[in-house]
Amino acid sequence: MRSRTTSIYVSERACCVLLPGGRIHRAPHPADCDTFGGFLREQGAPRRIHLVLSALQCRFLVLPWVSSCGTAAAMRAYVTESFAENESVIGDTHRIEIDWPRHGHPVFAVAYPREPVETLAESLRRHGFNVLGVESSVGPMLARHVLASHEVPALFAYAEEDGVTGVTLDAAGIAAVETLYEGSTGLAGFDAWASRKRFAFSEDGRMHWLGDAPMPSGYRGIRSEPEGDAAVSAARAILEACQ
Amino acid sequence: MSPYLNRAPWRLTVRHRPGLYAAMLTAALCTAGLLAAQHRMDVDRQQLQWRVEMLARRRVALERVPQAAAQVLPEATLRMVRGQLRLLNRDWSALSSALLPGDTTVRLLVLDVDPSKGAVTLTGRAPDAATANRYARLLSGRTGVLRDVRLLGIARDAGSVQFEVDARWSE
Repeated sequence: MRSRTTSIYVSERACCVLLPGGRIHRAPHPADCDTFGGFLREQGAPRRIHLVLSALQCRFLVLPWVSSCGTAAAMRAYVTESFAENESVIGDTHRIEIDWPRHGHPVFAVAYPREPVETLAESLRRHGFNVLGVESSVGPMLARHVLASHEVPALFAYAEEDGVTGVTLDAAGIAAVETLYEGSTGLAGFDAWASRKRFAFSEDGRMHWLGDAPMPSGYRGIRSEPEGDAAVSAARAILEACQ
Repeated sequence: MSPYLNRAPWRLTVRHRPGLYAAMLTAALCTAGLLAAQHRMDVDRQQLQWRVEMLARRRVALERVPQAAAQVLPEATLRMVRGQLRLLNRDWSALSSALLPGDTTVRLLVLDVDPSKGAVTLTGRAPDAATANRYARLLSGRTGVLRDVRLLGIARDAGSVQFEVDARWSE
């Protein structure tokens, strides 16, 4: 069995890493990046690092299939243009990754912010760690908690360190990814969003709350089973999903 | 109903897999070796095919030659040659001595011999019919050379008799 990788959960507030004893070590971000690297080396963590960004830092797009995009270059241009229009994302500040679809299926694309990732990767490299890749928290959470037997369409929501992420799934894959900042009010507030979602789904059983974080009061849905008696937090749920 | 879970990670480091590279290199070498062997087998097969063709062509050429030699002489020429051989093989001096008349009054005019059938037709002139009959009887007496002697016809013209005798030349 190859050596495992260390997963670091990066949100706008802090970097979190799961220690072998089950404790979460949290370093305020970005000020303490250097000490974070030194701390990891003291702990003897595996050299390979896998960064997991919170979904609120990334931008997501699910684009419909366009038959004129025949080549990879055309598809990439289409996605870049859509990002520039819809999300005001340009290639200099964000790195766009596309999940290449099968013929006829919608295109799922993610834009990762370059600057936080590169500073963190540089400081870790100075301490002898090797950053293999970056992913948003959507991937690991869905892979861990979403089983094949769910009926679609369905809404899967989970808490992040700085807000809530909701993923709508249908038969072709991810249909939409929505993020809500903690503390926002009005239409962007959680209660308004939760009630809008209730209208979108025929029954409350189609809405699932994933992970260990407590379910907000305005959310009506099924809560996934919490594991163990450890302290419940969003970072723990996400880091354990990365294991 | 199982949804497809999209993941689009950003890979910062390429993980080199020496096992995969070694397997690809081995596959490429094996393919090259197999192609080279196939090329060699194709060349050999082409050469053998060429040799087989050459032998077949040579056999056809040999078979054609004696057939052409057998058909050199046409039928008419063969018949002529056979007739001439038959003529050569007969005893002509015995025939001519057998046909001599006993006295000088009988004159022989036409002698027609068909050597392949052995038929002799004789036309002559005699002073009277009795002499002609006597000559025919003389010929029938010479049984060693002639047989089936017949006096075919007697025609009387100015002062003499023209007669015709038909005989078979025995071997």
